[in-house]
Amino acid sequence: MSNLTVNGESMNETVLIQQAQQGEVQAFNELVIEYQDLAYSVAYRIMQNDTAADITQNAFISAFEKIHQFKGGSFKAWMMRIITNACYDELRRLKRRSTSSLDEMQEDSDGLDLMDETSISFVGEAIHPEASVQRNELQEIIENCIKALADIHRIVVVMADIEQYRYEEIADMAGVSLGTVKSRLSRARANLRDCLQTHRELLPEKYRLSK
Amino acid sequence: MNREQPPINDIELLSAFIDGELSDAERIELNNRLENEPALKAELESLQTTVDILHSLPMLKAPRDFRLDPAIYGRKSGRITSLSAWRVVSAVGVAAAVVLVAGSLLLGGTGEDADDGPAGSQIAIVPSVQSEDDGQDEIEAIIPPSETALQFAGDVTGEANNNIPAIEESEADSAFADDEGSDDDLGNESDQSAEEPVEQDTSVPDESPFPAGAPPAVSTSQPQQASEPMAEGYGGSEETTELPPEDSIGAADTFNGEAEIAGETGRSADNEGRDEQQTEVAQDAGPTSAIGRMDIDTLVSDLIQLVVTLTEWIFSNPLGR
Repeated sequence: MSNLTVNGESMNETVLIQQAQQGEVQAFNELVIEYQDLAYSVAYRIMQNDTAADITQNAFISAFEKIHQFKGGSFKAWMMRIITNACYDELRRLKRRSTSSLDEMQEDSDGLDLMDETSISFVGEAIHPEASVQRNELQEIIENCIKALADIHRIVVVMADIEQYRYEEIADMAGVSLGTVKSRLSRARANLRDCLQTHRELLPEKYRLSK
Repeated sequence: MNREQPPINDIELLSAFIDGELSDAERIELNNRLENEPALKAELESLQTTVDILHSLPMLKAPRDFRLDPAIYGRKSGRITSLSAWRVVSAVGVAAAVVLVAGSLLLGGTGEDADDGPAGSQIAIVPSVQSEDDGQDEIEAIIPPSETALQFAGDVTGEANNNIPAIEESEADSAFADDEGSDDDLGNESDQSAEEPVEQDTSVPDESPFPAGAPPAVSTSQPQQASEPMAEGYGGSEETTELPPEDSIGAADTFNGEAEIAGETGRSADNEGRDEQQTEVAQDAGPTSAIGRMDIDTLVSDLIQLVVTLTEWIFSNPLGR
């Protein structure tokens, strides 16, 4: 349980949660500050478009409304679950409108100009511009490869390799079997590896994939 | 890819191996194979590198501040977490109102006998609940034989019951219609939340009244604001919980009471002598919707609207106590 600083004082997260459960929006906002980068990261990497910000905002509103249901444990995990489910809902909604297929997405992902709209920036960006540019280039490659995955693969890989949920948790959230999670994750990783392989020269040496 | 892809089953095995998700038996068997199959080992390394790369991804920076605006999401005094006693009693109140009105129709309130009734004969529908029963705010129903008017009174003390100008029918209709709009919003949210596989979220239906990207303003009962989503959970901040128009004082009493409890804004003057937790069901159709010789169709229509609005109000009311 992390300690947060409020008005110069260190406050235990539990206290903030309790206050938020009493309706103290200021206390809840301290939790928002603590987790908003992570929440947005997850939402963006699943959604891969600018709906991520709205989803994140609404997820925080929803979390505040439902915070009386939080019964303890990891608030971070609870919050990430709300975010992930909000993304799921949106993907399902988009699916109903018959949006992206893997083929369409892969056609889109041929170039690096995919990140057009993404004025995404990273927490703790390097002070040195060159290093920052180089790293951003690598990160963009990775993000593009994630983006190129099919929805069902991307959401599993984000949960497993970025959020680092266990298979059972993913199965629970995704409403699929453990075997399906295992299968989708392996395919997602294999696809990502193949995608990264095409940009091998840009990867740091320790990450260079053997041919 | 230059190398041959191993069977997908092997990739699944390797992937689960990386995550420590294999059974002991599977792991031992795979370890044996890895010692004897260089291609499989190379595959494992490449997958492990991919996972390491993903783990190396930094967090993104939030593009904006996601904190909630205290002016909109200000202090709330508690929320309903289950079907509370209050809801049960309120539901009984609604049921009683429906029975009474239906009964009045059956008894022939179509205007034929209107002249026989005493002046000011009305149906007073006051489903109310009181935590400390002082005998004042019980459910009341006065059904003279020739009632032709409906009154939805929020205040049974009657201080404003008989001297308030009748509300325009069209205004009342508009208020009901707006409330139905809010109901639709809530219904949509509930549908959406039903899909959520979150365990913690299933104990209570998602009551989020807010559509994507549109954090709502706090809603009062005023018709002109009712097209906005209901912010039932947030009570009102003082500046957003405004008084209803003067021609609906009875409704103003009730809804101010609601706002006070929800938002703890504490305007207790209108609730003299009453427990703050007291809740009454009333309608924003106005305090004295006196309709002489009401056509039965209009009466039935208004009755339906009343039931819809009462139900919506009860199940969206933030008061858990």
